[in-house]
Amino acid sequence: MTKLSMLAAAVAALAIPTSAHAANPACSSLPDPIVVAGSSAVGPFIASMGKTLSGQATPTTLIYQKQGSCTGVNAVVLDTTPTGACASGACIRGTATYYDSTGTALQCDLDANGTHVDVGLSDVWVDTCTGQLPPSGVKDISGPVEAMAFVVPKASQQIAILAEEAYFVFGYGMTGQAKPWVNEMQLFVRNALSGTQQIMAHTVSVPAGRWKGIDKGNADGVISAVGTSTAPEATIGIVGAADYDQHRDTLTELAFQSFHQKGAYYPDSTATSFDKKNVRDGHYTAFGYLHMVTHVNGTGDPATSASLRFVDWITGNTTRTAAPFDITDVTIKAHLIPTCAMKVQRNSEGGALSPFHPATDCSTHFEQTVGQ
Amino acid sequence: MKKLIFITLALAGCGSDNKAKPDAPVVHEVDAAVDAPAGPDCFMGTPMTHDEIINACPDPGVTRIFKHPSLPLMNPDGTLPPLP
Repeated sequence: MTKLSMLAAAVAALAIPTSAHAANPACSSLPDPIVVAGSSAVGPFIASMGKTLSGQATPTTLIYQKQGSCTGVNAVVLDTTPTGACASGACIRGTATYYDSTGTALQCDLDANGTHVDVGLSDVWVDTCTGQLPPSGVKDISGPVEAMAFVVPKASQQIAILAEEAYFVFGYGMTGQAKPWVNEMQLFVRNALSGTQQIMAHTVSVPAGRWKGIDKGNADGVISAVGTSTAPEATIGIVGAADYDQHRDTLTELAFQSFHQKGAYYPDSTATSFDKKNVRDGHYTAFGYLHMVTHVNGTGDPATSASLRFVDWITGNTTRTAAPFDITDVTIKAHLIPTCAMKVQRNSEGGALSPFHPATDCSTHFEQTVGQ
Repeated sequence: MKKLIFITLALAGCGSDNKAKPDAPVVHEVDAAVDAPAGPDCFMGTPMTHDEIINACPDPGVTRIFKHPSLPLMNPDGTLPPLP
């Protein structure tokens, strides 16, 4: 099978939601299921956790559906009856992905009437999706940092993009005259439900719902379209940096210069490194946090055993919930950035950066792990 | 209009506690010529504000790229016009 046909098959397999398939097991029949949904940018992170959890003596199964950050947010925020029938707009349907102990992605069938989501996964804050703070009984809990990136085909000669350029490329399209990206059929984007697009939207001041280009549905769609473009110089797309790191053979990441910045920077210190140095120290501004959106009880803790364990695993609360992995290492190996390796922070989407001093600095461990 | 992209492997000379190293910046001419940045162009010291953070002098070995694209729709004062 060629690399191209393998990629096409993978994209087809990830087209969601799909109708139930007779050969798939019911998701609810899998051992200790925890249902998460939303961001596609955190796919490698969820896959890594899912593999380890399913390999335990008493296995847990992560059930994951990726349709975009705001879909995950809405599945929880609109779920006003989390223990009853699904409210309008709540829950997920069709098929979902889970991982066996070898890390193989498999498919299972969700309940025909909808499956409640334990934790919505989002690259952006709840209010970025809904325009409102989380409703009473729902909490937005921040996790590791995710960088987003502009990418071009490997054959492109482009190496950098300014925020001002991106404003004209994606806000105006062809009429923006920001060469060489003036063909809207070669701008591969997402949509307003995508955390990737929302973060980029806040970074370059083009509202997520007004982007010019072709909506490729999810990260895999953008990666495929950009990587196989026959017009490389005119082609550009947006993906999570973690996804880019796994497709460096077909894509080139552009250095980015923010508004009011002097010079463009890669997320990493160089085009070939993996240290996310410029994200961690604030030179690369296109980043957000993984947000876990979940129902909480009266004390503010995740309301169910499933959601509590998932949140504790990611936030590293091993005092309350034992973990079968070192979440810092899982995070790093999934090309995300644990907050303990960050030197800067922000408190709103695309908001101003300020210094950050983690309680326990893991920068050295981060750099050693990624091989820098 | 021709344009230029400079790639600079940052020197250590920007930091208040550092001395400039003899390495010359790596410069790549991508699409013709404009100009190199003149004088100190990064924030020296401990950055505290957003603008200081994004413009802090990068550590040695960090790639920094200067690009001057032609953007015909940019306002003369350098501000952006509203979206169509």
